[in-house]
Order: sequence, then C-alpha cells, then structure tokens
Amino acid sequence: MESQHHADHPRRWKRVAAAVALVALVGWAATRRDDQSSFVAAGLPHPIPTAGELTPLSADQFEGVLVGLRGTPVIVNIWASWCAPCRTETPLLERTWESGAGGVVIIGVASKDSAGPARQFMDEFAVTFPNVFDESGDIRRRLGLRGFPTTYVFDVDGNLQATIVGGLTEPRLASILQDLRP
Amino acid sequence: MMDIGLLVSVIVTVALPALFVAPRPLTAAPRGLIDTTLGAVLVGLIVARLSAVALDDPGSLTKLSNLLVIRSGVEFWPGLVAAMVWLGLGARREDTPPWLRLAAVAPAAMIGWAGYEVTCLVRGGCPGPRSTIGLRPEGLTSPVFPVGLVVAATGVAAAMLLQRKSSAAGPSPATAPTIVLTAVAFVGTIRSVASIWLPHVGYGLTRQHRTSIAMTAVALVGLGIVHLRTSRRIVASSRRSTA
Repeated sequence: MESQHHADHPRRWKRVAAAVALVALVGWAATRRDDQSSFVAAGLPHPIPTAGELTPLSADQFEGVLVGLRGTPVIVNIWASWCAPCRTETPLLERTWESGAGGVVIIGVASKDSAGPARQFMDEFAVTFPNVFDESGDIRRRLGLRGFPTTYVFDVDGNLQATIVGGLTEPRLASILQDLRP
Repeated sequence: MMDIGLLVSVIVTVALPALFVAPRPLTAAPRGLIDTTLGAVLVGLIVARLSAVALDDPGSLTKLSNLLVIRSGVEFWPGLVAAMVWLGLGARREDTPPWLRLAAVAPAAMIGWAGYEVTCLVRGGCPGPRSTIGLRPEGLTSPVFPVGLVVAATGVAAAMLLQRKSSAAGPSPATAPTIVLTAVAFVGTIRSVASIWLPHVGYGLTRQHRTSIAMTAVALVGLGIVHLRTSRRIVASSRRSTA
C-alpha cells in the first residue's frame, strides 16, 4: 500500500508539471499580440469600386477609397485565387454582404494574383461586393500584409481596429460586425 | 504560414484527455488511450475535412493542397460519427463489443472536445454576444460573453457525470450503449444551446445548430430504444423466474 502510494507520487507530479506546461502554452498563445499594422489611410477621396467588379487600383487610389468611406465601418479582405482558406472565407463574406452587413462596407482586394484567375474566382463564388485588383502589390505592402487571407477592420473614424491573419470564422466575423455597430 | 492557435488547440485537445482522464480498462485492448484512439482521431479528422469541403467548396474535392488546409474548416458531426465507426470496427476486430470500447473512450473524448473549446482563447478569442462582463477578444472594443469557455466547462461536467455512471471497472455491456448515446446527447445539446448565443451572419439557424439538434434527437431516440429493450428484458426475465 505504502509502496503504491510512493509510486503514485512522481506520476502525480509529472501530471501537475504537464498541466502547468499546458496552461502556460495556452496563456502564452492567448496573450501574445501580433504586430498590428499602424496603417492610416490618407489622401484625396476616391470613389468606391463598382460592386461585383474587379477594379484595378493603385495604392493611393485604394487609400482614397478608404478616406472617402470615413463615417462607415469598412472590412478589407485581401485574397488570392490560389489561397485555400480564401475559398472558405469568400462565401461567408458574400453572405454577409447580401444580408446588408449591418451598415458595414466590405471591400475585397485580390493580390499576388493574375486578373484572369482572380475574375474566375469571383465568378465561381458569385461575388457581388466591391473588389479591387492590386496588380503591383503596393496595396498589400502598404497594409503590411503577412499572409493570405488577411482581413483588416476599420472603424467609422478610419482607424484600423483589427487585423485578422488567416481564415475568418462565422462567429468571429459576426462578433466584429456586432462590435462595429453603434 | 504556421497557425499557432490551431497548433496549440491540437496539443491541448490530445494532451488533456491523456493527462486527466482516469485510465479505464479499454476492454481487451492492452494499450493506452492514445494508441487505441489515434486511428479513429485521424479518420475523424479526414472525414470532417472532406465533409466541410464537400458542403462548402465541392470544387476543391479534387485538389489535395486545398483538402490539407484543415484550418479552412471541418464538419464536427460527420467527423465524430466516422471516428466512432472506426473505433467500433477496431474493437470488433479485437473481439470486443464495439459499444463497450466506445463507452470506455467517451468521457476522455468529451474532455478532449472541452479542451478544444477552451482553446478558442488562442484562435482569435472566444466569440459571443455583447456583455457587460466577459472577455474582449483582439479587435473588439466591447466585451463579449465567452460562449466557448462555458461550452468547455459544461462538457467537462458532462464527462465527469458519464465517468461516474460507469462502474470502477469500466462500463459494462449493459450500460455501454446508454453511456455512448448519453455522451452524444450531451454534446449535441451543449452545441445546440451554444449555437443560440454564438453570433452568426444573417437570420435562421446555422449548420452547426441544425446538425446538433438532429444528432441530439437521434441520440435521444436511441436512448429510448435501449430503455425499451432493457425494460422488456427485465419483464421477460421476471416472468421466467415466476413461472
């Protein structure tokens, strides 16, 4: 009985140590903050691209679109036709756009891509929200893109409120929309 | 690009049951929990991913590179059912009643699921309805009620209840189907209720909500059938003994 008790002791400590390591791992991952881009759009206002179209824009023109949209929350989604998580995210964004998006404007930015496959991608998912073609890659560089897809959330004052690298889930997107509403 | 959140989620999901679930005899399987369930977990993951792609993006079914991107989404219930079938078939090959093996693994699986739900903290924060108390995930200005954490806590409580239901020696052939179906009903109910609070786009029930309600109903019908059969058996045996 006594020897069994002694044998259980190291095992229990190993479990406690493993539990502490797990908690530390979750804590570290939960509290670590990615370097948030400090992007603030500037320049002269530029008209918003036509919904459902893939409009080629320069980085300055794109910033102008964001400047012109001050007063309205904006979600900018950077995507590419070759990006697998983008295929899951795009129908969700389209559904959000079709449902009115709670007064939020969604703008897609096709980057690191060719116009043909990007257009085909939009047709495949019947995308109707405005999209920009970032032919030179300047838009993604100015936004400080680190991976595909990335979603940037701008509040009504044009401040960058969130940068979501990787795929968006429906509850997360819905939480953001809920938060952007006054 | 490495998804740290997903990586941590997988580690926690696998490690938690292995650490904290009291080792129960897996009935005629002289192996540990992870060895016994590894194949089922892999099969479940593959089916879960294939189901998500088939439902959301059938065009990618033929593209292996797209299929491998697990973080693009998985379907919970098809994955769970596939894992259960795989585990049951493995038990049968070892001449163990499938229900018995499934019942032995059920509490551990629920702890693993609860662990995954907790890791919503590392996958962009735990979404939920606006609340005065709660967490403020990155990118949100007001706090939200962390539905995932409540789901995890309820899942652990349900797993402990199930663990208690089976005897110290593990589940018996008589109680095994009840334990498995109760576990499915618990998970289905918890996911259904959580779906009410989880924010979603547009109106109507989400797919998670609909499938969870359906699986809860299936489990409850199964429990009803098991209960009826058990009652009939008791009546028949008491008749025999009085005769």
